Amino acid sequence: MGDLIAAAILLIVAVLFYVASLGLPPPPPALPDVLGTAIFPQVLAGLIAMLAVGLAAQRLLRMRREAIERQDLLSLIREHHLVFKSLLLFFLFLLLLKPFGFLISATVFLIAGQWLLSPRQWGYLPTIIAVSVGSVLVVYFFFQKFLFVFLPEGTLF
Amino acid sequence: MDQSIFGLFALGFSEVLTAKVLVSLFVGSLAGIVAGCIPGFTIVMAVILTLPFTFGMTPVQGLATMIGVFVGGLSGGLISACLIGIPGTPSAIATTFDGHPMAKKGEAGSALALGVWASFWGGILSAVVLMAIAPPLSYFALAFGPWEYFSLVFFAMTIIASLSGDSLLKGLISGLFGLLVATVGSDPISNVPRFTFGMYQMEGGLDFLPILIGLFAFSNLMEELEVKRAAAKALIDIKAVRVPHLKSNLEILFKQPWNLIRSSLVGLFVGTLPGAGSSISNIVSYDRAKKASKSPEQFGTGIPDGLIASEAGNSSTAGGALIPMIALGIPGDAVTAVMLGALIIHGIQPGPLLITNHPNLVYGMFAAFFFAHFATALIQSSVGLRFFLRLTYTPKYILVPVILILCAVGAFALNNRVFDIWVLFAFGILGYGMSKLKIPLAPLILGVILGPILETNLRRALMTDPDISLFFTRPYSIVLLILALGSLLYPFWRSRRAVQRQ
Repeated sequence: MGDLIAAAILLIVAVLFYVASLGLPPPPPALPDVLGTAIFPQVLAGLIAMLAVGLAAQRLLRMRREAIERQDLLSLIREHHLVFKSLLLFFLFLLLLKPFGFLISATVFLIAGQWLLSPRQWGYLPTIIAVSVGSVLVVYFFFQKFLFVFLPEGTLF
Repeated sequence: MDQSIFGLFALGFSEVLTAKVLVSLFVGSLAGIVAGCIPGFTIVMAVILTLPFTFGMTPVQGLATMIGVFVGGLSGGLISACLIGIPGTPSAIATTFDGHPMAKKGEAGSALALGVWASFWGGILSAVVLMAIAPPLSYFALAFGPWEYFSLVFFAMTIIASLSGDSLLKGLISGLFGLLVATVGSDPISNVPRFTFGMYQMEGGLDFLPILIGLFAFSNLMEELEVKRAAAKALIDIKAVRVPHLKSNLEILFKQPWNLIRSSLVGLFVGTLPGAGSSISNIVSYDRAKKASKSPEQFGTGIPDGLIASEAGNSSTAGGALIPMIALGIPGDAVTAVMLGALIIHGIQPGPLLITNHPNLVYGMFAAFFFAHFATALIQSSVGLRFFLRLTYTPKYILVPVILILCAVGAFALNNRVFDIWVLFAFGILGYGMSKLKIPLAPLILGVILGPILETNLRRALMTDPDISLFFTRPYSIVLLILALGSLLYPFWRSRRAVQRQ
């Protein structure tokens, strides 16, 4: 099933790039550019579309030949729940970065992330807070003071 | 400047033999060993996390630090492989086959020391070959016109698509998708913005480093979260580990010189192939050693032969991977791709002219690669292998979020913009999805890096002469295209042979 979804996504991406390439301007007449701006990505989009169809066909043929074990959605989510939750946390960290800045959003992300992955017993909390605050401060000062990389400041704080 | 070969080597060694560079190299090797021995923390991640720290360094110092991490990481994987039976990095998988049984038999110290020294000699041999091959190869590539350069990159793309996964179809899709991603941003010839979809941040194109961090570090960390694995537990009492005298280890090692040399050469060859890194070379070296052995049935029971083959094979891969990166500007794996990024950040253009234009840097890299093996062996012998073993118990709940934040900071620091962290996130999700679907990641990143070179040379060739037959009539170009065809046909030949054997 995964291969079929991948093939469908690839097909959409290929069509999207092909359509977008149609609006690209032709090369300036002064430049002897035979291919121009659009041909190379158009060829790539065409090849990707062809291979995506091939991938889907290969999968469908195999599905006909072999009984493929299907995993139900619930068990899939259960098995990967930490992945989904961590992705969500990272997404929230990125959203918080602009209003709250690096110091606050990274500390919140680290505390929440470590708590999520830990055995979630209160005894772990002091270590989690110490490691989170400590690592954010070390990273912040190292980058600001030694590498002169100014990490994002929040607009609210 | 003395341009003789000795003069160039003297220049390189003088670049590295300064307190600053040596300390960086030493710290890099130490960090690499630490990363290598922690299961789930890959060498690519370690080199990626090193990158922002090199911004304030000179190019030689920065590259030396990264080389230290690379070499240290390749050797560090053996510690957890031998003592707890879990390879610290994929490059130490075959090390567990004999290293761990040796440890269980009470020969843990001997296994570790043998691994360290096999790694050392494999690495030194690859350093010698790197120094001997890279300069002539780059001078040879200087004669390349756009036709040959297009064919070379095309060959690199086909070989990576056919070697880095189980399915050629998926490898090709991954590579082509990478090439398509590389077309985002300004057209390399006419500067016309392409596929920016209204986002001004994309006008300069997508920087390949946030993509690489997303694909190789972020997605790998997500895989670590799939199952809550129990903390690694030592299967042997580490206090009882006694490392035998150096002389007795070297005696065992040099009793089988052909195993050492063969495994090093296998690792070196695999390293030169784009997309086939140390995770493959250690298994191939082990397999070759087993096939060449008079007593193959003893492999896997805890004999030094298998351990030596795996460690010499994985360490020599580094030298192999550096050959196309230095001589041609084509990275052999994700680690050398990060190094390529470091060169670009310092304003240095990789390619065949690198050695001519920056001999101090290239020969400095050779010297750093050479010294990194001494540093790694010295650290592992002096700091004590037990110290590194304790690091393997670092809980995952602490490690994963901290590395994720460091990845985010690394991506941000490249251009000082949050947009690059979004790119990292997007490609992290993409990379995770691809690895679930068994679509190899290496062709994608190589496509992103090599895409502009491929397109520019194709268009330059046709601008010089619109006759397309020149690609097939110029001798080097046709040889490279035939090799590309061969690498595309190789998976079919391989599967046909497997069927015939069955």
